[in-house]
Amino acid sequence: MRPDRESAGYTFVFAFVVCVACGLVLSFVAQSLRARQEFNAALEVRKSILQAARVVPGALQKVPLQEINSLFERNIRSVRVDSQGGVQAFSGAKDQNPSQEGNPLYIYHEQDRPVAYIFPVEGSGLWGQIHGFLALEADGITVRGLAFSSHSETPGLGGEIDKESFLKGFYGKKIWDEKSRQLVSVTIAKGRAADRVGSERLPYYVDGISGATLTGDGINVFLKDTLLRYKPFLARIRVGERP
Amino acid sequence: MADYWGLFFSTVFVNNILFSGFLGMCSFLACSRRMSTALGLGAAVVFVLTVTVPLNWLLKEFLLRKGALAWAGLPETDLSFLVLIVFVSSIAALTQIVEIVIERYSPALHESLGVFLPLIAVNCAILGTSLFMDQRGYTFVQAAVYGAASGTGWGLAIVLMAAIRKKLWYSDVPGPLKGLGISLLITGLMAMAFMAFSGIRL
Amino acid sequence: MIRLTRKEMTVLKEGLWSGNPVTFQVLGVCSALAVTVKVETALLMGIGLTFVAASSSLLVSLLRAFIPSRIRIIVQLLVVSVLVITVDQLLRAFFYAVSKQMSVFVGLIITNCIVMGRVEGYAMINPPRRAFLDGLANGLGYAAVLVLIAVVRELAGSGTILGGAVLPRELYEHGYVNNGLMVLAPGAFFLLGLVVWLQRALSGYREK
Repeated sequence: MRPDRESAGYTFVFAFVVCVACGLVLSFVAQSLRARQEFNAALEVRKSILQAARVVPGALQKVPLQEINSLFERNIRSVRVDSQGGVQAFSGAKDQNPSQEGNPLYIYHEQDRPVAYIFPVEGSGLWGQIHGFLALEADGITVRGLAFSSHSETPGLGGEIDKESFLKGFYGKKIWDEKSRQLVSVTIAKGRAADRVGSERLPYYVDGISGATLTGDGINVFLKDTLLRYKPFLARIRVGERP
Repeated sequence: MADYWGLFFSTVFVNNILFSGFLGMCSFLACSRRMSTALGLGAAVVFVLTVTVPLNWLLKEFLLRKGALAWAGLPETDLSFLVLIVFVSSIAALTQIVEIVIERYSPALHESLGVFLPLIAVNCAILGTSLFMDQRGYTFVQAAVYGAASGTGWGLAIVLMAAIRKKLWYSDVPGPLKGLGISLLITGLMAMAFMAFSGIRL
Repeated sequence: MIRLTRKEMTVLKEGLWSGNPVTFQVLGVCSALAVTVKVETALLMGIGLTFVAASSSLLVSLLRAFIPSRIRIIVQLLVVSVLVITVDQLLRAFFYAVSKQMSVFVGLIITNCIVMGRVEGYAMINPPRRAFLDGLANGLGYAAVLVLIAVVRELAGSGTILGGAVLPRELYEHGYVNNGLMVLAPGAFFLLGLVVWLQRALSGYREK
C-alpha cells in the first residue's frame, strides 16, 4: 500500500530525501570538476598576462594550452614591489603567494632586458568584480596592452571589454603627462574619445563602448588606483632604473 | 550615511532593476493590469527583498564563502557552488513562511497580499538582486540598503505601469498589439525616460 | 526516426508557434531581453534553456506521483536548480570561454519562468515523454524569438552578425551610423513589442 502523499510524516521524509539527493549530486559534480575549473581559471590568468604584454602578436585563442604555460614560464618573471618602489625577487611557489609583502608585478623579459611591466588591476564594474592586467612599456609611460581575466559585465555591452577591438585602443596611450609631470592614468571616454577631448589630451583617452559607460567608469577608477599604488616604482623606472 | 543614500537612489533610479537589468519582467507585465494588484505586488516585493537580501548575505558570509566554515573547524571548505540553490531555497522558504504567518494573524492583509507571495518565489528580480549583491561584494548594511532600494525601484516601476495601462483602456490599439505588445512598447518608452537619470552623479 | 503521435505533434507545435512561451504566454521575457545584444549569447542561452526545460520537465514528470502538493514548488525549484548548477559547472570546466561570457545569466535560468511555468503547468500532470517534448518545444520556441531579436539588434546596433562585419564599408563612408538605441534597454523592449505584434497578427491571437 502506498503511504499517504499529503501526510506530514511523508512530506518530511520526502523533503529530506530530496535534499540529500540534491546535495549529493551537486557535491559530486562540484568536487569532480573543481580541479579542471581551477586549472582553467589559472590558465586564464596567465593568458591575460601574456595578452596584456603582447608576448605573441594577435589573439591567444589559437595557441594550444601547453604552449601558454611554457610561454609564460619562459618570458614572464613574477616579483613583488615594496612601498619604496624597490623590487624583490619572488619567493613563493608558482605565481601565487599572498603572504609575501608588497604588490605583485610581472616582468616580461626578452634577452634579459625588460620589455614590459605588467600590473594586476581589479575593481568593480557595473555588475561585479573585474580582474585584469595592464602592461606598460619599459619606459614606464606608454601603455603596451590591457587584458581582462574575469568579469561579469552584460554580454554584448560591458562584456565587450574583452574584445580586441576595444583593447587595441589602449596600445600606445600614455599614463604620464610630461608637461605637468603628473600621473594622469588612461581614461575610457564616454563614446568616441576624439569627440570628448581636445587633440592635446587624446594620448590619455580611449574610445568607449556605447551602452557601457558605467563599466568604463568603473575601469577608469581602478586603473588609476592601481597606478597610484605603484607610483614610487613607476618613478624609478621613468628615470631609467632597471629592476 | 550619504553613501547609503547614494546607493539607494542610484539603485532605484539610475540602475533600476527592471529598466536596466531586465529582471522581474514577467510579473511586471502580467500583474500591471490593475492598480490594486500592482500596489499589492509592489509592496510584497519590497518586503521580500528587504528581508532576503541581508538574509542571503548572512548565509553566504557564515556558511558558503570559502573559509566561512572556519568556526566549525573546516577552514578549507568552499561551498560557493551551492550559492544558487541556497539563495533560491531561502527565498522560497521565506515567502512560504511569511504567507503562513500572515494568514494566521492577519487575514485581512493575507487577502490583499497573500496571493502574491508564491508568485514572488519565482520572480527573477528577487534572485537576481541577491546574486548581484553577492557579486558586488557589499557589506551587510549595504546589502540591506541595496535590497530595499531594488524592491522600491521595482515597485515604483509596476505602479507607474499600472497607472499608464489604466489610461490605455480608452485608446484604440490594433488587435494583435493589445496587451503584451503595447505594454512592451510602453516599457521601452519608460526605460528611455529612466535613462535620463543616468546623467545624475551621486 | 522516433514516431510521434498526433498529440505529441500538437505539443511541439504549441511550444514553437501557437503557444509560444514568449509572445503568447508572456514567460521568460527578462532574459530574452538581457542576452540579445549579440547573436552568439542568444544562441547559447537558447541552447542552455532548452536543455534545462526539457530535462527538468522529464524529471519532474517522473517524480510527479511522489511529490507532496504542499511542498511541490520548492521541490520543483530544487530539481531545476540542481540541473542549472550542473550545466554551469560543466560549462566552467569544459567551455571556459563560453561561461565567461554568460556570467550570471546562466544562474538566472533557474528563475526563468518558462522552466517553472512548464514544470508546474504541464509536467506535474502529464506523462514523461510528453512532458519532455513540451519542455523541448517551449525551449526551442523561446530560442527562436531570442535569436530573431538578437539578429536585428546586432545588425542594427553594431553592424555585425555573430561578430563578423556584414555591412559594407561604403555604407559607413556615406554617413551611415550604427543605431546606438538598439544595444540599449529601450531598443530591446521596442523590438520585442514589435515581434509580439507580428507573431500575434500572423497567428491570429488576440488578448481578451
